[in-house]
Amino acid sequence: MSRTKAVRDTDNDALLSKAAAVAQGYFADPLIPLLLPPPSPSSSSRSSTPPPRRLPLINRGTYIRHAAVSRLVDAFIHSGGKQIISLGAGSDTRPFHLLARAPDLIYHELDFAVSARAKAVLVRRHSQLNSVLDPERTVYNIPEPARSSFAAFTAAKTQRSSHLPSSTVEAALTSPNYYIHGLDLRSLTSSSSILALPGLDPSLSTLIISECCLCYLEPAEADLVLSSILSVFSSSPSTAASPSPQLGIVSYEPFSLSDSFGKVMVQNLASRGISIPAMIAFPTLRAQLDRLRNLGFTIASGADVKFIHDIWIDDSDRQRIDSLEVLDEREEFDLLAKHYGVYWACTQSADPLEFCGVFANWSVFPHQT
Amino acid sequence: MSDLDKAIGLLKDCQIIPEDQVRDLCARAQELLIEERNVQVVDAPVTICGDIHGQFHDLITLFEHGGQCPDTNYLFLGDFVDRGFYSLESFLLLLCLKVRYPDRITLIRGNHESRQITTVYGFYDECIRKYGSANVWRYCCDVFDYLALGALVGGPGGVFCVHGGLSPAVKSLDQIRLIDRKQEVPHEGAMCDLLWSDPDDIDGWGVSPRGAGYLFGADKVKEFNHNNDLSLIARAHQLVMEGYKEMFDGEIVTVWSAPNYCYRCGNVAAILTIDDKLTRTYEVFEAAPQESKGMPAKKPAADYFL
Repeated sequence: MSRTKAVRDTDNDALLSKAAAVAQGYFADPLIPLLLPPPSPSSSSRSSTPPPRRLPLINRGTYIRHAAVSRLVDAFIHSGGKQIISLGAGSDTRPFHLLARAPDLIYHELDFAVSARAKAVLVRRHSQLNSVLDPERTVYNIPEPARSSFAAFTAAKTQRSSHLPSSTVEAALTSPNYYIHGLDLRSLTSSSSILALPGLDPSLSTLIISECCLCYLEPAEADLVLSSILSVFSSSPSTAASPSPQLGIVSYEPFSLSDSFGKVMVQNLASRGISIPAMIAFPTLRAQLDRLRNLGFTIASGADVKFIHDIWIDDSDRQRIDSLEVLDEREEFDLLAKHYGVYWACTQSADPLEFCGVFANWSVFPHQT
Repeated sequence: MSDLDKAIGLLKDCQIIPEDQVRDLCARAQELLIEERNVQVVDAPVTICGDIHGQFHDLITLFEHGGQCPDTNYLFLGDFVDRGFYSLESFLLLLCLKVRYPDRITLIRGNHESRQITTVYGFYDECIRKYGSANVWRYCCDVFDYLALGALVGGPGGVFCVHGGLSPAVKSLDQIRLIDRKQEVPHEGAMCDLLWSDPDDIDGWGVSPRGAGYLFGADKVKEFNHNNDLSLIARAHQLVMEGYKEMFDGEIVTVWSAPNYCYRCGNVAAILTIDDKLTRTYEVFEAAPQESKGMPAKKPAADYFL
């Protein structure tokens, strides 16, 4: 299995985890079943797919991740944020939920071309997904003859792509406020490659979302992606009348903490063909935040999932999730949760302790570093 | 060679035994266990082992470190099943050894030896996967209901062994002896607490984040040990990265015997030998290597957030 294929498959893993947490009642997302792959032909029950199951501690972690990223993204939207670039978006349902309540948002999803096409097929197929798009102005770039969406989905999931980053951008779906760009992130090496993304508005303050995405790239490659985007959003001169757009990032990813749990994680993932170079290069949240500051973000904060679980989740919500299923493995959850973190950073803050502009609301989130 | 010895041989190779043999084994085990006390008296020297959780290859490693049964006298503190990929092989091997050498191995009940918990944490699914029906799971759960709740090693000044810990409803060992244990683990009360509680750095009793049992402090441990003429409580139930952890001036110890728990945690494991002078000797061991002696390999499919 190619490394690229292994990384693409992580999207399916994440989707199944979300579906399991939703089925157990941790949060609601009626759109997720639409994106689930069909049951395998060998499956005995073809007519109905049972909801996937995950262990309680995985469901809990999935919920905390979902809740934390959602709060940070929502805070950006509430402050008037208008553009989102989601890296390695995969089968995320976030754009459909956000566009339903923030129709003037522009949402860009970037992913491998096969994944982008597969998602466009599903968006075209399901009215629950495409109802947020203007049908007159939505263009699906799906290879004809049109296959059944599931066949295309399956083909996309199994097709191998080249090891070398292709420099072409394939717009799998364009509409005035939602774009699915098929590309290899490693091809984003300059401001011109960012500006070449159809529909990208460099005058808007923009939020990057990276949920377990940039960490799969070599640190130098990921740095190049981020500095390319940063250069686009800091190039316009800032005046009092028209301040230059800000750039922020919300990221969720694992940390090795250089301990025995982290070492086993690196080994276990390697046996599945997955390597997460960022876990080695930035073993702690602090190291990751230093990296963002060095790249040009002026303020960066973060918290591990255990901290978010213990501090962000209020008592009533904790009681609610405690009642959903027995979480016997407390120590194991704590151990696992300390090895994942969410961090958030933005440009243009004059005070390194205070978020500003469209990211000002982020100052209210308790952080560890 | 008796059928039982053949079954032990098969299970030691990580192979399952036929369903009717499991049924007979469980019936024989129940006949033995029904005679045991709630707090089974166990002679020293004995080697005390914590959670196994279906990590069969690591159980074999444990026996290599502690000595084979019946050469070594063993006391397992429960949580034989769930989480690992070989709960069946692990539990059935221990049960065969129990039936074959009843005086050389003691099995007490953990909170995972329960119908409700095994349907969530993997043992039920494993039985369905390996036998195609829930029969074997039912036979095993019937055995769970007969497992002792605790053990007493070494008489006066000795060691009380239990899976979880203390209960506000239990002041003395005699109160444990009065429990009617032959039932599914209840959601509350003394029997539940013994299997679910954890020691913590608090005074008195606290609410357990697990949603069952209690947290109990050093004062409660010292009071219980003093009132019952005990020098130590040996318990399991909580992952300890170093394999074992003594607390409260050495009056309670957590023993954890599943190395690299869930093939993910990176911890070492330990077993504790109590000799006839009640001296404690810990043996720490690591997870079995990936390719183990021609037995079915463990599949490191541990879940992560990706």
